[in-house]
Amino acid sequence: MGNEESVFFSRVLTELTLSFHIIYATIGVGVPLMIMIAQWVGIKKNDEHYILLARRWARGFVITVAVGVVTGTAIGMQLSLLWPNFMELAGQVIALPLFMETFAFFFEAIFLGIYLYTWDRFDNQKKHLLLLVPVALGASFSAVFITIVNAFMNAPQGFDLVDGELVNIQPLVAMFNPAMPTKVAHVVITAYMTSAFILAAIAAFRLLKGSDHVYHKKALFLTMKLGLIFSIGAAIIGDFSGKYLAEYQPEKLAAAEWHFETEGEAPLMLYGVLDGQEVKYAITIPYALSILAHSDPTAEVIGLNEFPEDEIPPLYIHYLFDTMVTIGMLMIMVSGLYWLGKHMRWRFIHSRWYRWLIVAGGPLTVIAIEAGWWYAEVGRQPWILRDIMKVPEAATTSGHVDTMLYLFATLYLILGVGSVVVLRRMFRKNPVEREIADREAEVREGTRKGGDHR
Amino acid sequence: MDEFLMFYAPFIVLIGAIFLAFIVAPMDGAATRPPKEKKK
Repeated sequence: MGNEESVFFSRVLTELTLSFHIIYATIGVGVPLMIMIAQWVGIKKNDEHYILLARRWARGFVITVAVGVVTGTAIGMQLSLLWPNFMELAGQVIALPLFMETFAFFFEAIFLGIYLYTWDRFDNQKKHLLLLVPVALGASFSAVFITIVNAFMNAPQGFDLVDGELVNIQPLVAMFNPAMPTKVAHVVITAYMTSAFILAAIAAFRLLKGSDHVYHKKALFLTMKLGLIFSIGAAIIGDFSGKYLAEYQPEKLAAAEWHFETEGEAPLMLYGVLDGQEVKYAITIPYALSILAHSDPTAEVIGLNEFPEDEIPPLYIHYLFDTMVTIGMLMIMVSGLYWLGKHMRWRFIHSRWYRWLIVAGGPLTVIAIEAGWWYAEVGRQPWILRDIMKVPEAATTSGHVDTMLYLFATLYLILGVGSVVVLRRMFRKNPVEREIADREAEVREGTRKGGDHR
Repeated sequence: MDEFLMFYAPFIVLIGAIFLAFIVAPMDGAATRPPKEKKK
């Protein structure tokens, strides 16, 4: 296998691993907060349904954590094996958050174990809820630290490059790079958003399948409300990301928006197709790109004409950007209408078609996460470390990356199918109705601690 | 202004959204409310 093939297979394998891992990682970051909110509501309102929501979500969460650990380990290994030159150079500067990510995960895993094995062991349920705080913090900070590494790849700083050697290394300066705030906040809030809509999709599916239990209605209302809050937050932070890109990575913004010439009063292009440098069938929103980039309708936005041809990212990222934004906006509308409709007692939000729309929201938000991640990664091309190292310079020269690709693809297939089968069996064998009846019987017999959750 | 939006505002929005989620979550009066009757 030649060097070009090694680079190609390294890219495909990394893309496959990240695309698979991000599904479980997103759930792993977002669901602990959902569990925490549900249990907190249950305790506050002394409502057994919310407590049961937290219990059942926690059980499912463990399966996704297990898969996330395997794929996360694969990523760590692949960073060193597939991109050794990158790790040799960047590792000197950015190893700190990589290690901190591992510690955040340990923090989460230890308290998750204690949390799971101490249900019904506390007379005061608030003490049990406290165990979730480090779980949720550990999960979110895992995302924070690993996203800091990715932010560094986009806006490297905290060192001097002298004759190919890194000197004057400042790890904290590297961590607090300009890409960090928008990237970290966007990754974390979209993980919360996606988790809320996945859990909403499950509740809506149960209602569609004939269960009329109040448990599912409460679950749907809670998760749609949380999804609405976090999706609006994601849109606002997305706007801040536009300002960051305009300032620090203008080629990425210009490629995503098919903005070829530097100009003021720049319009935003939605959808469309590209014919050479001519954009056809696009929806054009006047001034919107200038507003997105600089909060000023007349501001000048840098175009692709300012960059050498071999440093322009692939222009298909426009579609990835549009996919992410369209799904995000759709979910704001779906959850906003649902929330308003519940308060106004509108009939259509109880219809089958609207519930199917909510069910579709689960996989759609996962697609939005994937599209957003691909946009972030492909939009940085041809660089692995912006302005310092290009992707082909960083890759391994090993002749066996294709074999690794097939083996890892098989592993992900087994993990993906296995986790779905386990989750389905886990919840099918223990339906909500039975579990509620069992728990009510336990309370009546006085065999369970923490009957009153306040 | 853009400096504030790029470096501080993302965390303010993130933390604000988490707080808002905890405040709004217990307000579930509408969760089990039936839809309006169809007009005959």
